Amino acid sequence: MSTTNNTILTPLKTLSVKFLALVVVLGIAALVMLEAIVHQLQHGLAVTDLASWGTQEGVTWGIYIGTFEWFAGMAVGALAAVGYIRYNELTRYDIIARIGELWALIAGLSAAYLIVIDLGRPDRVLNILTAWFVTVQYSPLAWDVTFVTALLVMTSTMLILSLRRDFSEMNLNKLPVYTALIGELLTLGFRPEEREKLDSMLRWLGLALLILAFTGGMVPGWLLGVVGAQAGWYGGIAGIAFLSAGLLSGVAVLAITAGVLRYLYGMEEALPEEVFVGLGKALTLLGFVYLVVQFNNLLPSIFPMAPLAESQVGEAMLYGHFATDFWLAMAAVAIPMLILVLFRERMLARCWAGGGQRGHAVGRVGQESTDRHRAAHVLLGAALRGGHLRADARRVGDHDRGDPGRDPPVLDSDETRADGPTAR
Amino acid sequence: MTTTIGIPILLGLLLLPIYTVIAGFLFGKPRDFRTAGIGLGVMAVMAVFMIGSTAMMGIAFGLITPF
Repeated sequence: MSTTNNTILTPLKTLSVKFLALVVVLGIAALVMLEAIVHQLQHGLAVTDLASWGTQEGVTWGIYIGTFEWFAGMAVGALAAVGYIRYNELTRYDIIARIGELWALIAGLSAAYLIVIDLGRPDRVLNILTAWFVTVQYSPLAWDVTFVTALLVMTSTMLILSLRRDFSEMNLNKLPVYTALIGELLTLGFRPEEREKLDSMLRWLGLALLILAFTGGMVPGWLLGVVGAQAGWYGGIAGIAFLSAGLLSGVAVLAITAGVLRYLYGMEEALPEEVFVGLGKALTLLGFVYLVVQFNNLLPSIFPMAPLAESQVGEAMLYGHFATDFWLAMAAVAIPMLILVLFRERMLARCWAGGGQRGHAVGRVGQESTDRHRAAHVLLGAALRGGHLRADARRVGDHDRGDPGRDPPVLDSDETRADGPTAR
Repeated sequence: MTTTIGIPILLGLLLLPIYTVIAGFLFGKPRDFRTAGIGLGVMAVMAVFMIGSTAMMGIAFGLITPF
């Protein structure tokens, strides 16, 4: 465990030239953006060159709301991943949950900011807040403000409470002073008997995040889906289309972030290949669902009986003006998904061979961790198979409790290894 | 009617996670109202902080908007 902790803490303890260079580059980019924001606030949304578009020209909200949808989608995906990991206590995926908490927060804040900046006169956000009690009765935008606020509140609560639990187990004196200060603040008034209750609370919060992702997660889609005048957007599938895209992009951003961390900071032990195989399976399923939903979304518009405006949008996307963008986007989902499917066996074999070599390391962190590790595989795998989740979870739970009446998971036996952890 | 759909959506759908958290924190086992109170307190503070900071962002941006 100590080796893992040291690797995880490396980024906190070291300050490299590359890191500083990156901070400078991003700082310059942030300053340029700040100047652009001030410019827009002083001269109005006309400077975005979307002034001649507007509702009458066929663009309801412009690129800000497009970007808002993207961030809101990532937040939904990150929420769902965090909720699933925390609710099922998949401790092997704890780092992914922490990355997800941060991403959901970053993406949620970006989404909120984009709504405010898109108002043109951002002081009007006060009108949104004060008129909320009336507008929430009929306006999807007010529902969306509610969803994003709930997302920010619940994600930050999850982050604070999970950090409170994690810091309580750490020796704060061994941490860098700025991290230790945050630790002191978050563990204020902590009592050891709190630990069990905190575990339970994080599970409930995880369940709530899952519910929020699958209920509130549809709202940003409704924003576009309820506008009858907008061909290509209007329709009952908008909420589901948004949810499926959000889940996919959210889990994808977690996988990419984890991959970058593993590569840059040598976190092979803390972020083993098994975790990426789990994320890869999730991405395969979510990518497939996304493509199916998009097919259903598009089919009516290219059918000969479609209304004229709908068919024009559909044709522009499939063969016309937007075809390059559309097909590139579809390929960006379909190709990685096919690679994940086609090379599934090879990835799993490599993963399990690596698992064997890491046997000593796993042994060091103790039996509980090994069981949790197995549990993570069974639960994620079962979820992706779309069934048997409860049975497997129960079995793992019994095994964790040392129930002799039931068989333990046989994940690393020879016959299951061939098909990987989800073979049963 | 379209204009009345908002309340069922708010109370029945959007606030479901909040009900879950409140019920789970307070009545989930093991019962410990102190820790549950800390959790709900964090949530309340974050709600005030998020709504307040959004309002502040609007006001701050409004200061450099000349119209």
